[in-house]
Amino acid sequence: MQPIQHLFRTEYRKIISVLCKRFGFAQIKIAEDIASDTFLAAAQSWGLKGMPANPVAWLYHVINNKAINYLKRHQVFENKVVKELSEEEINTPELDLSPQNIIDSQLQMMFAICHPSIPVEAQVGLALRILCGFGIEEIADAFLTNKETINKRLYRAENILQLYNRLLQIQYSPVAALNRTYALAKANGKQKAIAEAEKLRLNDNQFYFTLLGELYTGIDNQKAKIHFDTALSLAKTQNDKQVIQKKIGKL
Amino acid sequence: MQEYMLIFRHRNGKEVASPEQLEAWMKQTMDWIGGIAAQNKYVTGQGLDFDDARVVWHNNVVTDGPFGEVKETLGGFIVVRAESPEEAVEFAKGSPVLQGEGNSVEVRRIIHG
Repeated sequence: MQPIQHLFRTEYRKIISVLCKRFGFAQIKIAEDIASDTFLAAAQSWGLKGMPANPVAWLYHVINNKAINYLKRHQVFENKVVKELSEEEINTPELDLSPQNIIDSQLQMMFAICHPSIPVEAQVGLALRILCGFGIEEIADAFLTNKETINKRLYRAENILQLYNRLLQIQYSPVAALNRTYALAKANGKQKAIAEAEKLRLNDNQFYFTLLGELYTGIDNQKAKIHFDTALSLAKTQNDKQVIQKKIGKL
Repeated sequence: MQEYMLIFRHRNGKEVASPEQLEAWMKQTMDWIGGIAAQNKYVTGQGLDFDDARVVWHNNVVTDGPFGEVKETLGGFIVVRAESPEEAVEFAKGSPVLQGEGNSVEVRRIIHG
């Protein structure tokens, strides 16, 4: 096995776990992007200059820089993460990559993956991918052609979008219309989806306003709040109300 | 609520664009129609094949397509529900067909007997 592939298998899960512990499990996609990016940088740099004396230290150094850059740069930091971090953590943005924190993070990741709310098939898939570094060939290929990974993700979103475009032509339903608009946001961006969502006018449907709130989150949080509030006033079950309250709390 | 037919006039895509471009247009068209269907305003629609197109004239004279001018060539249609001709026109404005210079979408109210 190539040294970098071996490192991928042993280090990827640690990096993802630490990033998720730090950013929150909801940001797993971002954690994966940062981790993939780091291995891509490693493949490029080591291919040219040769392997460094301490590859793990190299990886941790780069992941730390990328994480800091991400936190500084990205809106999500302002909107979502910052409120969940304590003052102290904001002032010392270094990632804690100590062995103790890596072990803690991986344990936390295990519990997160095995949460009963995640379907069993998805638990297995997540565990194999994130904890075991399974599918090493595909993943190794993927971080060498990182663009393709992103394209595949987009392709999936577009497939779902079609499913709904066609479904709606055959049989309209408000739920399908909302799902279609959500898929549109994934495939073509939130701005486009907002324009289409506002034409739906499902004004007695709480999920319509929840969707609008979601779409506006990070773009116009004031509008997001107004929509979530409307959704809250339409929600009937305690559970629905709690979910919406949580979204408002995160704004 | 009335029904309107949106009639597309454009050249044979296969003659003016690559397969990739055609696929991109098809996707855009599906997204456009999906947006109308999501408002529960889509009724039906069909694309029309340019291959083997024929025109039958007075005295049963038959000529081949494709046709000389864009204004004579039908590429397809959809039927939408709209409160007013203006709303139907707004739907038509979103059609990817209009990206091509000289192309048009004709908006006609359907007469239900």
